[in-house]
Amino acid sequence: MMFGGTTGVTVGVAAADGDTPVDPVKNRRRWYAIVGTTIAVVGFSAGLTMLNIGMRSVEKTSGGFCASGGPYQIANQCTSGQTRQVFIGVIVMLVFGGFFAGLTGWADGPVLTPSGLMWAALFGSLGAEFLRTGASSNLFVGVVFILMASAGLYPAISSGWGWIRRGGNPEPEPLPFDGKPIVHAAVPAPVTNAEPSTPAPTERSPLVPKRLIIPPKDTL
Amino acid sequence: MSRAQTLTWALLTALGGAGGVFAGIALANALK
Repeated sequence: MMFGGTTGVTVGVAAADGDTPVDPVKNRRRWYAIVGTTIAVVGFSAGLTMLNIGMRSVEKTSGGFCASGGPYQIANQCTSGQTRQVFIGVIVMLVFGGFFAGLTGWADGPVLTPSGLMWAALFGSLGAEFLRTGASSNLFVGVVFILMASAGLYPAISSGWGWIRRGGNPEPEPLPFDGKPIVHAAVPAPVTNAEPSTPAPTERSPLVPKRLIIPPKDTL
Repeated sequence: MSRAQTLTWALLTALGGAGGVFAGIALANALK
């Protein structure tokens, strides 16, 4: 497979699996996106791992809940390490997850499917962590998180099923727009001075419906 | 995407995801 396409000179660009030529600008953009999404997925995965390690530490040391500061006396204080791991993990995960989705969309790729998978990875891993600890207070949260994670799998399952139904072929291109308007204005026909084809009515029709014409009193 | 791009993307994403786990463990230990 060749790729490229520089300013001024277009290197031969052809898809390896097809005979149709590929837009060199789009092709180059996709390669950049592949490199960028690799960096993004490393960051997302690292952030998610940090978050899970931080949450596991909280589960082990304080039963899944800790707090710091505030006017009350707190039984389970968060350690500074736990705070750093969870907060930095969340921020890194969100930033790189957004970076991943943005780059995928920039390269004309699917955004919903990878975003759903990232959602499923986040809630699935945390839900499994909550269930794994076995504490009754975490059981409900764990089940809810697993259910939330499974919802994120829907776009991937749906697109995967579509791919199987198409036999592995790419999605059909949308119908080309030929420029013809779909909706037409209801413009009346132009008035001509020619003789009307039908004779004019000799008797004027009432302008109001009959049921609204009140009969004179003497006829009642 | 062409098939080569799809395969490259899938391979790098899988490797990146796995590498990110190790990077996350290292970072979490550093932040402990």
